[in-house]
Amino acid sequence: MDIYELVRGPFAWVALILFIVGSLYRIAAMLISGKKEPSLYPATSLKDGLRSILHGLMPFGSTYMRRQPLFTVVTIGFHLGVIILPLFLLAHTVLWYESWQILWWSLPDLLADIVAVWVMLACVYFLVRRSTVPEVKQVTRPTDILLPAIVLLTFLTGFLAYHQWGPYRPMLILHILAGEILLVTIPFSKLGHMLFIMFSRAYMGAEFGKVLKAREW
Amino acid sequence: MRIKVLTLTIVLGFVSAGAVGWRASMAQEADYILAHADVFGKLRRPQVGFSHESHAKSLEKRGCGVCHHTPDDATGRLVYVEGEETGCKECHEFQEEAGIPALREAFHGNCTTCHRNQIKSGNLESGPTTCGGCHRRS
Repeated sequence: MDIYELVRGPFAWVALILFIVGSLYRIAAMLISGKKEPSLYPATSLKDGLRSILHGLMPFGSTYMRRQPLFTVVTIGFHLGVIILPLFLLAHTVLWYESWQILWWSLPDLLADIVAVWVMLACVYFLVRRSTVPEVKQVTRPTDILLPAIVLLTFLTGFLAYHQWGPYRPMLILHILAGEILLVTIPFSKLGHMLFIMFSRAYMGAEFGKVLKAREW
Repeated sequence: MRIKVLTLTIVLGFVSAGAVGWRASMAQEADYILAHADVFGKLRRPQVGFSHESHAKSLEKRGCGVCHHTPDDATGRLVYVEGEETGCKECHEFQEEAGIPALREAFHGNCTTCHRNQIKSGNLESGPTTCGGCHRRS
């Protein structure tokens, strides 16, 4: 069996299905478990929820972001990168078309390179921060090191494969594998904040606005 | 004497030029470069080296129509017409038009898909299937 074909075909399907089904399951389980909590749903508020989401999405829109500007800038670039690059990298758009005849825009290569380097440096920054800043170190568990490391590995191998630095084929296979591991990990790890962030922001916003009648931080 | 040599040179020149031209009209060069900056503009990936000879050899059974196809006037279906082989960019342009895939997708659709299908059906000696397999930086 050709290893590239294996990771490009069956492994990709398994990863994608686990990601989608896992994500739906986690969201459904969360919504259902919320119903068992008598005070949760009555406390929701669309207005306060949306306000909180808006403040959370806006760069420096919340106090916690204004208190640590470097972290904020690094993390915003990182999060934009990890969403935009996988979808709109030229190499990926070619594969979108090859697999499903979906044709859309691609990022200019130089910009994509800059974003990729940003994401990798951000991973290093997160890892260093996790192991040096005392209050962060206190709450760091092995998974908090492992997850940024997988993201770093995915982007590093992709970057090296694009430039064809190092052994190209193994690098590409490793890149795809790392990406698939990442995809499967999303619904079942802390990366699940990708699925839950809107719900938790909305809940916190409603809690502070409608229930506590306080401003939200 | 001098005139004789000159005449001979000119005649030989015409004959050899004619022979080269005739050969070129008969068959593709054995190996050449796919770049098409005239369609794509500035290339975003390294150009692709392509061996017409090895493809002609390995596609002997399936025929030249795998790549060289033209729409049949009556049915609109893609057929192979001997003697009317053209390059891809004669019909496939920068963007999809009237159902004709764009040049990039036409290349990828023919090259990668064929190589992958070969490998899927057990012929592991088929051509490259990865981006950098064809678009080599070197």
